[in-house]
Amino acid sequence: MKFLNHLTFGQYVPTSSIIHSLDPRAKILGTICLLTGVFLVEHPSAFIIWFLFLCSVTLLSRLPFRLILGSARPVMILVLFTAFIHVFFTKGTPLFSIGFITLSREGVIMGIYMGIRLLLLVLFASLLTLTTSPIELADGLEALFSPLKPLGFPAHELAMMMTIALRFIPTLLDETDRIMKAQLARGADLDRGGLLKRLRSFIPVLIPLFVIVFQRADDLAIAMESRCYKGGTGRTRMNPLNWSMRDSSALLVSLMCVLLLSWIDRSVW
Amino acid sequence: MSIKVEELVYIYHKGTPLETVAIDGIELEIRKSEWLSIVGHTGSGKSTFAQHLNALIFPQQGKVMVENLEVDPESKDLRKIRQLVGLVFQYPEQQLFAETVFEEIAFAPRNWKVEEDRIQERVEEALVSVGLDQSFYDRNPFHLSGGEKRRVAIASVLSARPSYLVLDEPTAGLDAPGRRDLLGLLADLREKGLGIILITHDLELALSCSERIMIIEKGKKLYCGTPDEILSMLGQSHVHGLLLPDTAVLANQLRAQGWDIPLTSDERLLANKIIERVSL
Repeated sequence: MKFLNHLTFGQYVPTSSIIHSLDPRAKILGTICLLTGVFLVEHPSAFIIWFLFLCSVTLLSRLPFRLILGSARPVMILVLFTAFIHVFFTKGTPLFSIGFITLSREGVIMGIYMGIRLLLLVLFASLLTLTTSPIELADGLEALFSPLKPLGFPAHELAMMMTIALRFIPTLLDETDRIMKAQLARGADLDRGGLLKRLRSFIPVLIPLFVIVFQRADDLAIAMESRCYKGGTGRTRMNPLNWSMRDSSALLVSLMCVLLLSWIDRSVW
Repeated sequence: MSIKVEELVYIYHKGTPLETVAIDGIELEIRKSEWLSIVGHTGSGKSTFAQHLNALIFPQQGKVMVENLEVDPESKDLRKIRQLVGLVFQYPEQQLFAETVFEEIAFAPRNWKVEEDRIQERVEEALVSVGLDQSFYDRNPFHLSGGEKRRVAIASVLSARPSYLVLDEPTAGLDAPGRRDLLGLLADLREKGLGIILITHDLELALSCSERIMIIEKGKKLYCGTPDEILSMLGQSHVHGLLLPDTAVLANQLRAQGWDIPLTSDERLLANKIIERVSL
């Protein structure tokens, strides 16, 4: 067992599916469309259709459902919390009240909808990161933001920072796992006691981790400089992005879904 | 008293596309106070195996018994197991965190609730057994040399007074004298009755210091025996990727010429035998 195994949130899983081979720009724009779409609908049937849509994309991506659903686990608390807040802080027809807390009909509905929306949001977003490697993702973002370059927007630098940060998440998780194990082997108690005690017991994990992070940052900077890295100007790519008909149609499909569903949601239901 | 491993199986990322079998049915008994080396290539599963021995990883199939305690996530004796089996990870100096060497080494006994007035004794004992002295007490572990850091890290495991010490590539990144000194320290600990389990990719190193060697490949136990048995096995047949040490190759060639000398990886012994033979 790896102690941090459950933190697979958004980790890239390579399979050879249609979804994986789409241009990252198409996937990013498509995901943004879908995320907007999730917030444009209000009818329960629309949410069901969105879930079906999510399932079909998952099928196309050839990833196990368990993996997609599992990626929502770390943010479940946030989802429940948001839903909870909406339940108690939305004014409307009161259902019942205890003391100063009033539960309203609108509140319950709003809470459930908000929870479902957030869940869909997380699931779609993790579908993007599960099917797109961090490098592709950063390349896609850089390409999408490059029109803003003349305005002084550091598109390349941001993409590079993101690539590095994403690249090091699994590495640092592995390091953390290793240090945690090393300290457990020395008898450290990492998951007992109150909050303060637990925080204190993490010092033996955090300090070595910081040391390693700074060392790695130093090494990386030297490695990049020794290969004459000096920013994005004039850099060519090993895998240039290639927009094909498939990408256009994928984007079109998601856009049509969003428009159609929000139109039906508004005018029919 | 011993550590018993029965039919151990461990698979990483079980049920995902990244599934890899790390350990595939290993069976082994490690006696108390013997020096056993586990030799295998990178990715052969030797580190995963080591982590089972002190309950950092739990068997997915099979069983691991440390003395009479079972390695099981539900067990109430996990801390007892971790105290009995000390584990020194690869590059152990990376786990240092305290402000002074004393605090660093006192971490383990404090975790096992050793009384405060006994801790000094534990720290001193551990520090001496890695060849350092009390002048190190107040030094900052981050300011020590590489070799010293590693010794402090090993001392910080020894201060728990384990019965077995598992070391994962303890000589990685050390120069030749550092390596020799460290092996000398381990031999001394072995003399004092501590079981040493050395995990390494270096067959020559294992041959030079262990009483028993287990060779693992792709999570399977290929062979287990004394250094002499391992040498004669490798002298007769080729095992994938495992090369005889140069000394043993020389001995083997001479034996093929009809020389009556033992198949050995010990340079001095071989040199003496050759001199004896030549001066006849």
